[in-house]
Amino acid sequence: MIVVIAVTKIIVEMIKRFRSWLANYRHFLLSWYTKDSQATQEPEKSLVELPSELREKLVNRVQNLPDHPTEKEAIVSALNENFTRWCDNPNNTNNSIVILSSPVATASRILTKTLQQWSEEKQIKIELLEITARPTNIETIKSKLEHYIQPKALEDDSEKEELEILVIPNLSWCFLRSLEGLAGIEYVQSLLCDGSKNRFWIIGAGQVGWQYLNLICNIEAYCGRVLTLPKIESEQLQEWFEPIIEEFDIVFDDPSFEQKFLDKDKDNKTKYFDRLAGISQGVSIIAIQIFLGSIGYKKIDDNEDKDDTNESSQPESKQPIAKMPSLPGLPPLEPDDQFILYSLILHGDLTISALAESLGDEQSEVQARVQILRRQGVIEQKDKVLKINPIHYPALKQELANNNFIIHRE
Amino acid sequence: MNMTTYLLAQSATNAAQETAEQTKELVSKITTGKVAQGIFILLTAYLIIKILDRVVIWLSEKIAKEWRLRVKQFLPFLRMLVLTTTIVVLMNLFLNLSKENILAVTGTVAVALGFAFKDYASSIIAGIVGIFESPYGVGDRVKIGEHYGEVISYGLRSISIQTPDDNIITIPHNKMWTEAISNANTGALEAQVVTKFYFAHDVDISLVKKILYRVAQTSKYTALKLPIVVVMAEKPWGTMFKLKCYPLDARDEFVYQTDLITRAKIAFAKHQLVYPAISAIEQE
Repeated sequence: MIVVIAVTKIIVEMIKRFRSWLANYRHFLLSWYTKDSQATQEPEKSLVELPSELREKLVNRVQNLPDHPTEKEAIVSALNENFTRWCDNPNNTNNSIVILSSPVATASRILTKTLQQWSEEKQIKIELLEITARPTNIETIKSKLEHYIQPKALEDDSEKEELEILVIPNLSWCFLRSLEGLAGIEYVQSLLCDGSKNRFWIIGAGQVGWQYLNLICNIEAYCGRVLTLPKIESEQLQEWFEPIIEEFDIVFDDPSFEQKFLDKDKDNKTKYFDRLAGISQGVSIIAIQIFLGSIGYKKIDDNEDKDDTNESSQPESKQPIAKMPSLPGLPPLEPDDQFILYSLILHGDLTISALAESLGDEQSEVQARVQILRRQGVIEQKDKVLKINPIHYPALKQELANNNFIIHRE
Repeated sequence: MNMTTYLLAQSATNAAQETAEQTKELVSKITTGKVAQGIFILLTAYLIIKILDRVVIWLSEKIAKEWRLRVKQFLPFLRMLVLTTTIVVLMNLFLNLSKENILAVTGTVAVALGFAFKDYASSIIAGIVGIFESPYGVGDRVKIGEHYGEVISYGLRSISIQTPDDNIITIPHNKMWTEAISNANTGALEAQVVTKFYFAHDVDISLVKKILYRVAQTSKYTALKLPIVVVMAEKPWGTMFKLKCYPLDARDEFVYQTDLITRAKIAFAKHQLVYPAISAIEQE
């Protein structure tokens, strides 16, 4: 009997160890899988099946969703706490708060909107940095910052000056990974600890750019608190999409066999949003793209039509259906592509000239690779600004981390 | 006394006769079928080794970079495993491995190898020792004697290294006994790159250091998780600066160095930094 118990214990322990090994080495196993996938899926492929009018309406509706309340709440709560602390004891060790977001999220927009509401509620005037994009001439970043942010009076004279809350919506616009491109950050660092008691800083930044600045100039040491926007959970995503689901009367497809088996108690909708939250890593912009990619009409086979009654089959064929969400495969990437994509993730957005400068390469060389990546759907271009397609970000992050790039793994 | 000598001589003659009998018996058991089997086993082992070489190298280049060297360095173990198994199977086939036979064969082989293939045996033994001591592994960037490059294969007798000029150089393992082996990455993906810059004595040191740090920090190739260091040395003709940093992948060593030099020289030209006079260097 004792032997049986001991053997059972050993087996249980072995299973536990195997599971933990699998968890630890899944990156290795997955990296192999992701390298091998050849097919590139278009993010909105399934929407082609919808009538164009309905498709347009759905895309418009989804893209005009209000910012997710979780992100707003996190910003406001951290702001209240840190601002009050600073008001009670103003000094240059707690005079700033940094809000970090995913490199593919438009944190500057969320931050600006949230801060407008916050300042109205608190009756406090905020100064928004008037740089809304990275200057074309990188050498002018510092002079522009000097123009818009001037040093405050030192501690002795500070009582005469008015309180100022300065907002840098996107720190990425204040630097470029190049020899001349870091002067702006040096200037901001010098102001953050200049001894003034009358200026509170609110800074928005991308996680990867922040990680880079931390490694090269230890920027976190100059800032009071760093808040990373929380991940949006499954239920929160469900609530957020609910008005659209109701408006378009979307039904949820049956999940795969293993998901049916694993989560027996959950309905299709809950399973859908669990998976959506997981693969989007709780980032709203990625979740939106995946959601759009998963909606289509269910195809009804002729045989099925014959078998079913007309009453049951006809309405189903007209109803939008959400398939289990999935991420598209990443196309095979050359080492040069990895450098380009990492640079875009690091800076959030870049023009082609800034991208070439950040890589230290000729613009013509970079342009050729960018064209290929755009065709593959990995890079998006709006006006002259290049960005990573958010739907590819989770896989790309994994790929770059596997290849020794400095990027935080999930 | 005479009796003892006679008995010893008699027993030595008997032992020699016995060994000769045993050898005759062993040789008589070698049939054409066994020889054919032996050839088949050798061919199979050769094929397995070639397939393993290709599969492991292919796999290591396909998977994530961080796993590349770990997979590659598994290759010598696999090769040794196949070779050992082949030798044991062949010995069992031809020599009927009993305790006595093993002793007899090992002794004979050892003496034969010791005299006829001294260097060969030394290389093989060094190769086996090398698997456990790991002075180098597949994927490492090593300098042995005059030769520098990436170890691309680890054989029974030698390693092959690929030089920056794309030459393949074969170096026997027994160099391990006598030569100093310089390994730049010892199994890691990154290897330090040292880039030297020279300036006149009156150069603005802090400006040069700042430029060099920034050049490394802003290069797309730099592994920022590893330290970046600038060190200086004073020479009669000027000041030497060494920028020590690591690329993300040791294979990018030379392209990385080129990137560092290119961008640093642009910055030096912009700040009109003075290089040492060539005549002073020539005089030295």
